[in-house]
Amino acid sequence: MPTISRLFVKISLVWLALALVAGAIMTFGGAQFLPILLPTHVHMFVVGWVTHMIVGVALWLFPKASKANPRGAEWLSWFALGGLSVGLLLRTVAEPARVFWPNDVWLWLLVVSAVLQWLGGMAFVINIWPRVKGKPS
Amino acid sequence: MMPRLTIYGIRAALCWFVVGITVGMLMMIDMAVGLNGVGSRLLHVHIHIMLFGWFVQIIIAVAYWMLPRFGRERPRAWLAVVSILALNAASLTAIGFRWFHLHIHTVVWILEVLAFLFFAVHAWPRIKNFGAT
Repeated sequence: MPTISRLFVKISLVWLALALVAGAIMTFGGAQFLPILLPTHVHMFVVGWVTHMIVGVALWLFPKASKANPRGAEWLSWFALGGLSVGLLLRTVAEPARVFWPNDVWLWLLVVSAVLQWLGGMAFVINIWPRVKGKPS
Repeated sequence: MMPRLTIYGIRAALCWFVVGITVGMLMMIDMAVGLNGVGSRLLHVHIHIMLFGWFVQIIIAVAYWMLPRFGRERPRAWLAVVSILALNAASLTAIGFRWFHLHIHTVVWILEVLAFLFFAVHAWPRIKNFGAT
């Protein structure tokens, strides 16, 4: 298993743990936490856990791009890891913070988080697309 | 070797992933600077595309490739084909109906349930030990 896949899968497990913690806070912390944490909780699951797991496994298992360059442009995969992970981390901090300490800075951090996740997602798609093919190289 | 249905399914899932994250980014920008309320109007489309166009479709496409086969055969492959078609029709319908301000839920959910049922019927016998008949 390549390093990049191991990192994606391990980070996905960390996000699953964090999503469960957010779920526990919503369940046991009182009704006031539900609207504050729900969108963050959902994105921890779907971006942090599911998407990181899918990306990590795809980078590992999909057919090789070529013999000389089996995993395509690896810097794109690292860029995807940075964009998705840092973007989601920013969202996890900024979304609840915006409710507790209202300030436009948090809103702009949320925009930065969305742009980072978009860039990370695009880097993954561009790198994996040539590896979705019938015959291995 | 990746079968043709898997190739089409994964490529379609990647396309929906691009559409879904683009919609998500626009929703967030709408919150900050205001894009004519695009965020609230596209929330359901974002959810349907990401859940069914991306997650469910890539999982079904990879499962079709990876699950144990009967010899070299994947019996009743047409069921998986219908499932993939229904998932993509559901995502297109979600966008189309939203565009024309129609209620999206009934048709989209019917297509998504059909996609699940067809794939479940296809995959059930393939969930077995490798080599078992």
